[in-house]
Amino acid sequence: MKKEEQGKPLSKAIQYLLFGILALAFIALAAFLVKSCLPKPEEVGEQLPLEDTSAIIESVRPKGELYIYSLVAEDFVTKQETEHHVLLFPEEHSCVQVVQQKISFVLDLDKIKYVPDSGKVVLVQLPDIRYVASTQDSRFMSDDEDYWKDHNTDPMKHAVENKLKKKYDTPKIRQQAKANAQKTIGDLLARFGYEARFVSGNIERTDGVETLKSVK
Amino acid sequence: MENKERLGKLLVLVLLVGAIWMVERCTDSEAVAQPEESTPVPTSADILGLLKEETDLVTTEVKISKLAIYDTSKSEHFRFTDISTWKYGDRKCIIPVEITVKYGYNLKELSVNDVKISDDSTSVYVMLPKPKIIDSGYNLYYDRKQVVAISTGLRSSIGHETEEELRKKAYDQVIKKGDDIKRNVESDIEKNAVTLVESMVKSLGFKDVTVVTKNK
Repeated sequence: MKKEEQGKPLSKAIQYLLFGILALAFIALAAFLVKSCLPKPEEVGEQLPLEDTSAIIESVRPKGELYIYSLVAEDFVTKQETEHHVLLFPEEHSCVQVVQQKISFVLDLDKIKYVPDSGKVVLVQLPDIRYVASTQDSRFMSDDEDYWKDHNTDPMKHAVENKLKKKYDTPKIRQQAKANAQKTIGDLLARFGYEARFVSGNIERTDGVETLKSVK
Repeated sequence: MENKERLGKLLVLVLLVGAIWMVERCTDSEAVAQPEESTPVPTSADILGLLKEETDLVTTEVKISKLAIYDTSKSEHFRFTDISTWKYGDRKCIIPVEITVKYGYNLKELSVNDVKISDDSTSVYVMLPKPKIIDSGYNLYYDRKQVVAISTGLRSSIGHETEEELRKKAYDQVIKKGDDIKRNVESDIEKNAVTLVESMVKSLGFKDVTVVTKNK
């Protein structure tokens, strides 16, 4: 009889505890459902309206570049990390860094050498073609913006940039760019009545006159 | 006996809720699972713009700075009929963006009549087409110490995702207003073009060179 009386308050306590846990679980579930069903303000309508601020011109510099080849390309890298919570299951997190760039092949005009040959013929030596990439878009997507906000995304951006460079800065594309450069310079000189003859090798000055050392 | 039955039912309920929670978690993590630091097969990494042979002469580089300012307290107003405005708290962010715009001329637009050479081949007259944007882009890397990001109440915090979106929007705003910037640097573009073309043509042996642009 005594044992039964002692056991009753204990089972009552367990009952209340379980009711409490159950109630909390239902509240959490309901909150989760409501949260996942209702759209966040930043997910609806016009996203991220920017204030109309003025753009300030910091510098204006003279340039002498000839753009001879271009393309717009995009690539991405992903990253995954595991977050370890105390007394909870580990949580997986993923993110993607996307970069879109305009890739161009450029000639520096001040590095082009012109040496007058016979009559209206000009020997032209072209410098190395430069690979130039200008960022048009950089997007970061993740499962949890709050988790990733303190991470440094620069290594991921470097990885995408390297991927793009590896893919498009190829000998084949450089060759195409060089051919276009020769065509452009040739056309330009023709406008001024000259015929361009493209050479590679060293142009050296001897007695104040530029001469071509070796011609391929 | 009755208590034991109740306890059993409660346990079943708790287990059920736990199972639902687990299933929810598993489906979430399956959806975002990605290989760690992977370099995925570049199926979507295609050339977006066509490979383009260019004949663009860049004469001026303009560096522009702009503050991307996002403040929901100014742009979002509560409307009973719009669920997206039912929010508690605000999000504010300020990010400096560095933009580079290169201006120049498309040499393909240079017609036969735009280059005139004197009979004795000593002087030349060149008329350049209207200047335009040849290349533009914004800084891929930025110092996060310069970023101000605040979120209050129940609003989600601002991380890389939002920051990158704001930076892109600021860049688009500047490019959209490209004509305003061009008006401010027009004289520089023209001056640089004249200097560049003059030195190029003089190196071919012409003594008297006149370069004008179609702006006038």
